[in-house]
Amino acid sequence: MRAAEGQLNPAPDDRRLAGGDHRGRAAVSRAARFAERFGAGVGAAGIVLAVLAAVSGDAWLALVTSLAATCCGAFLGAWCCIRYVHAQLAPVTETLDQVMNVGGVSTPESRQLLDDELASTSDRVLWLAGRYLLLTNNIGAGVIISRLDGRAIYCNPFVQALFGHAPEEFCAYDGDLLEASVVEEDKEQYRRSRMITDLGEPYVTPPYRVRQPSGLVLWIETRLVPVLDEDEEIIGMMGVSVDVTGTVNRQRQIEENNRDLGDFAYMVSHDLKAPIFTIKGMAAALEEDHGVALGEDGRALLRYVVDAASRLERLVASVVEYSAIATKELENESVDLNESMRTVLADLGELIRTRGASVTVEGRLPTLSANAIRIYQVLANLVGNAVKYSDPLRCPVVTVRSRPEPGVAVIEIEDNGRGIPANRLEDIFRPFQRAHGPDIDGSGIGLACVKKIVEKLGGSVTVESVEGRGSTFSVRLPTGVTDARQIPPELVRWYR
Amino acid sequence: MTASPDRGFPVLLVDDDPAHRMLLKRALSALEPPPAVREADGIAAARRLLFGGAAIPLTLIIVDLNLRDGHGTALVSELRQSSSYGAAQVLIISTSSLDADVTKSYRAGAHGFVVKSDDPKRFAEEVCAAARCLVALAAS
Repeated sequence: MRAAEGQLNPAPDDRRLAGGDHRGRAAVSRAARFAERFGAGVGAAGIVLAVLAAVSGDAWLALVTSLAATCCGAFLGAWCCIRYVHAQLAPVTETLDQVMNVGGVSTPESRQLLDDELASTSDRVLWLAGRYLLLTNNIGAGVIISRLDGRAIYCNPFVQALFGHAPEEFCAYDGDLLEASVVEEDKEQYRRSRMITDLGEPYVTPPYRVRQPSGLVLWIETRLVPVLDEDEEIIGMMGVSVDVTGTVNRQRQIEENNRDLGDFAYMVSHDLKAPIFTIKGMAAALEEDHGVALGEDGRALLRYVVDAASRLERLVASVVEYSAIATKELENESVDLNESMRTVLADLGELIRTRGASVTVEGRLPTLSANAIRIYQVLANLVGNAVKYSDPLRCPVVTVRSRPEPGVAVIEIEDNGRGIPANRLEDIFRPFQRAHGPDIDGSGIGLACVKKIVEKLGGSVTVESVEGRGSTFSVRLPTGVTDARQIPPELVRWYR
Repeated sequence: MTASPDRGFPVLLVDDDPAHRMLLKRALSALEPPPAVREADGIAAARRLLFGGAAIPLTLIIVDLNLRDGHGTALVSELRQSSSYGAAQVLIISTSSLDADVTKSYRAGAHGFVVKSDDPKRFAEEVCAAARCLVALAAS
């Protein structure tokens, strides 16, 4: 079984980084070298003395010679034994080195400590086991390794905190005890998650609920990682589960607050719109029925009333729109910005014509994963502003272009308008802040909506402007859909 | 239910804002002949009028969506289930133009929906046009 490809086949750099090169064999090697040198020296002396004894016929010398030869043989024998043990231990120590090097973020000091303190193989095994137990017994996640039928073959102690069952219960249970703990409504979702992992890819489940034997219900999120054998066949599954009850509850609280905010905006909208409708309706009726009696001055005063009511109406509509962007989630889809721009230019056609503006789209715009309505709002606001806030002394010239950056599409809207004063650049993206006076019609909510939309899409919006010369708004949007819960590829190998 | 020679078709107007009722009556008065308008300032008042005694002849019932004593669609549902008023045409009026409100109104059984728009003249024209259309449908 190969539970971790990276564990048995670490990269050469990893071995070097962990600093454990052949530490297991170091002591054996030193002994072998000593035996080799000493044995060779004694052996040479024995040969010389034996020759001399044979020539001279000296009995004492012959005795010494035979002793020397015996010593030489003993040391040579010892040397051979040590070499044999050395050869037998080599694969073991090699594997230990590799295992120790996995995730080997060790300091030079700790490597030296290992060299000094963990000289023997048994010490190394104990150290590894200790490190492994320290990790699995104290990690704040439940780890379950199971066979394909769901039966657990290993669980760490933390599973009890999450699922209310001891590790032994998991391993003794005939089936998937985790699945049995999942509440009925979430079982199908959990099974689907396992099926996705059965296809061979790691997968992070959406939060699901488990009910402990005590009745306690927790929200759990599990990283499911397939376990492969040497032939890349899936033979089991590893699940690393964490308690996300707090996160889910906070998320629900946020959603509830958003709903409340939406309801509040709706209520404010209705309660303000109704009296505005009355004011404008009554003003119209008054002018129609008693316009002559009111005279020119009276009718002018009435128009002020209607204008004020109209401004209030736009303000209410802006608040509702801003609130909707903040609270309403819209589905993302594939959005061709060229299509969006065509719609924007068609809808702004009258404004563009009356201002004598020229709006050019340079090159092709990208296709993004976003919401078409929101993208339309962003482009319509920025292009509309570029035309509206033009310099009275020249015709508006607006250029829309895009340029790629890694993982991001940058859309630029450049104009030759009146520009934004430097001290107002930071304010213009805030609600009801306007860089220019009331001579140009606007609610002061447009750029705030743009910022809110772009940020909700995971992007950003910035502006560069020179007063009297024009502005360039840059919208940065991610080019693809990224599931933040998905394990980055570079981390996946840790689970294999 | 037919209109009398001197008065137009009978209408019940349910709106909690007296000013809005006045504007609506004013708008409907443009119809020829002008309809006979009865008023209720909320759901409770409408129920008393509709179900408190003998059924009253009604061709069109105009109901504001957001009333102080409830949602207009609740009254519409009751009207749709009533044998006395099941044939009456129901027009919803509201300051809301949200899709959710429009859908909810039609699901409850309304026949038309007119937004109290920012232009009072346009609103009056739209209400009159809707009323003519619904009365014609009821007569057919």
